[in-house]
Amino acid sequence: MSLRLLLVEDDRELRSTLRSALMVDGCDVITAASLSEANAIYSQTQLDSETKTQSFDLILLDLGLPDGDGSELLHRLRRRQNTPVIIISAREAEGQKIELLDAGADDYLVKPFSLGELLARIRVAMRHRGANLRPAITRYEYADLCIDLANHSVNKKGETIHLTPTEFNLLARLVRSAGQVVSHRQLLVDVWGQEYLDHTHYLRLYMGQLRAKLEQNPARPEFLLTEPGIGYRLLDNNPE
Amino acid sequence: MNAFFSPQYLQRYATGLAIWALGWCVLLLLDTRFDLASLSLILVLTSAIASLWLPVSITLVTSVIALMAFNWALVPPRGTFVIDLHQHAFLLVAMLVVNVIVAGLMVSLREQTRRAQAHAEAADVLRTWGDKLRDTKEPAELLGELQQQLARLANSPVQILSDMNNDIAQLTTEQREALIYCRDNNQAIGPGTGRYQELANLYLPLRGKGQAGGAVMLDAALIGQPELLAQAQALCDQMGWALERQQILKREQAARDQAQSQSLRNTFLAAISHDYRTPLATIMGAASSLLEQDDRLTQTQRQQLAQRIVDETDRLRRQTNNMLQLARLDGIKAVGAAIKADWESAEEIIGNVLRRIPLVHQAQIEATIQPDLPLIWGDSLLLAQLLENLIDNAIKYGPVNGEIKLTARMHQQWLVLAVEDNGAGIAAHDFEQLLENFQRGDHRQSGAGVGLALCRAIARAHSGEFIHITDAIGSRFECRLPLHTQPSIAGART
Repeated sequence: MSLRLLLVEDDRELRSTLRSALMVDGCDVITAASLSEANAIYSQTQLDSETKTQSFDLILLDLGLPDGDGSELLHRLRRRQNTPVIIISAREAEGQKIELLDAGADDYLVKPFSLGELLARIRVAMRHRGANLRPAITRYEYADLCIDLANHSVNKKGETIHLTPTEFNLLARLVRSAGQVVSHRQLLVDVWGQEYLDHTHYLRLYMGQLRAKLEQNPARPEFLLTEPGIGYRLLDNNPE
Repeated sequence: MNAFFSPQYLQRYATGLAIWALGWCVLLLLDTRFDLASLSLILVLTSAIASLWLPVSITLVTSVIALMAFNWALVPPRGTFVIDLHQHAFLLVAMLVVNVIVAGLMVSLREQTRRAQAHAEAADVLRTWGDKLRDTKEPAELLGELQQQLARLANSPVQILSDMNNDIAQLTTEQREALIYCRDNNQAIGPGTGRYQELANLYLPLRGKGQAGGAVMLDAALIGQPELLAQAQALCDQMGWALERQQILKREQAARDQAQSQSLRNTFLAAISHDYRTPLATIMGAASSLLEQDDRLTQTQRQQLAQRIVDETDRLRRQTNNMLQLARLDGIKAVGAAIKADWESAEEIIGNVLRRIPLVHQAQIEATIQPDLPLIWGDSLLLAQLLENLIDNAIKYGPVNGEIKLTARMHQQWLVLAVEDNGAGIAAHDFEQLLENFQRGDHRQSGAGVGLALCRAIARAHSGEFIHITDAIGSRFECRLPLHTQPSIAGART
């Protein structure tokens, strides 16, 4: 893939390792070591984009930067446009990650991560880029399972699976973001409504029902995946 | 003077006078039957008995009156105060002297009894007070009682200054300064103490061996009553010692705690550095081999070395997570206070754990989840970490390709997450050692101690228990979680 990436990461070793690895994969990588540098580079490309120069396809953003928090850049970005942003964070249990997902980040990775994971997340984010411009994903296939949102149908091994309306809405929300993590909050608001924000137990119940109907072995889910403490992810079925 | 007319005293006078009346009845009854000398003995006896009840002044007065009456009524010539015979005069004088001596002896006896009683009472108060102070963990809580006792003793209000009770704002500047001076110098001051005699009040320190734990301000009423003053100072001193003893105990406890946490930290650091060295050595070996022997390695060998680096890095990542979580959870004192809890399903937690197990070990693990389990109120990341650690241990320390069972089920009032393997397990004693000191038991590989200590910390943070059972078949680790009232799903649509 030939992408133009902005990598914001303060650790020099990690920065240069990721940069060279991504460049081997054909990406054009611009790096920034601090929030101010990232801001400056980003403003520059904004000016350039008016003169038709290429702007960034995706931003990899570290949270703990020496001169501030990476989230500031995210908020600034989200005011203008929807360049995909993937958060790179150092701590596993970090409430901030959920906030950032809800604030418009596309995905997150916890350090240390492998290059394979990073490339997979980049691919998914790029596929969803400008989802509001292109027709949204309405079809999902995995092994013998086929979900067609337009026809309101779910088939497994050629047989129709009957889902309740709520089960279908929940599944549809995950299909539209296939491969991406969807936070508890996003699911609850989109499927049940704003007033059900803290009803995580609804998700546990309905995800359990969906797994029982769709997964081969609900104890070892293959595609209805849990992201502990954050949300759910429908397995990316389209790895390139 | 009022005391002389109190009911108690009036009763005593009545008794004394009744004895005199009785004595005179006997005297008049025996008149003419006995001679004068014998009758006089009855009078002396009556006077001695009456003086048991009457004060010395009244005893003397009644004795004189009685003698004169005796003289008038019984000494011939009767009906006059005239004394005919010398021997009669001598008898009367002797009677008077004996009466006076008896009265004096009675008074001194009574005074001695009173003193002994007061002493016994004071000693009793001090002993009870001392016992009370010894039994309490927080002597400062008894400051109020000290105040009451002193107030009763001095019959006037008392002010206390201590570290606990500094409510002396309503006092005058002089009083405040005197209290502070008294405490800081560990000396009684005020009238009668020889220091700062001009002060209006009396100040006593709560004396300890070194420094006073506080001071009290008393009304000057106690001046001139050395016994009461001594008693007040004794009460204060006992409080001072108790405060000082408690200070010492607190300092000792703090020193012990610090030493213990220091030694815990050292054990922890030793465990960490050991557990880190092993994967680091592997990474260093593999990476340096790639770097230095590059041209002599086959493609497969290069792949293997790189894979080893990835695997060991992952191990380091898990160990780091374990240590961070353990440090975090150990810092939490209140159970269940600081975990990020939500409704979680055991199925999802187990599903997530299984997905993270390396492919080569997937076939070893058999997961069983009891249908329709209630939801868990807890932190799914922590519970997943707990199960991951246990499976990790089972893979590392169990037999190669041994069976590992992962189960979630109800057992009595607990929701139990369990990991079983058919390996040798750990002796109960070693299990405790592992948890306390992060040592490695008999195992050759590292990391188990911190991992198990974290498992226990996670179970406890969920108000649950962490249990290990080893039998002939193998060993089983259980995390038992308490059930919470399940949330309502009434609002959910179909």
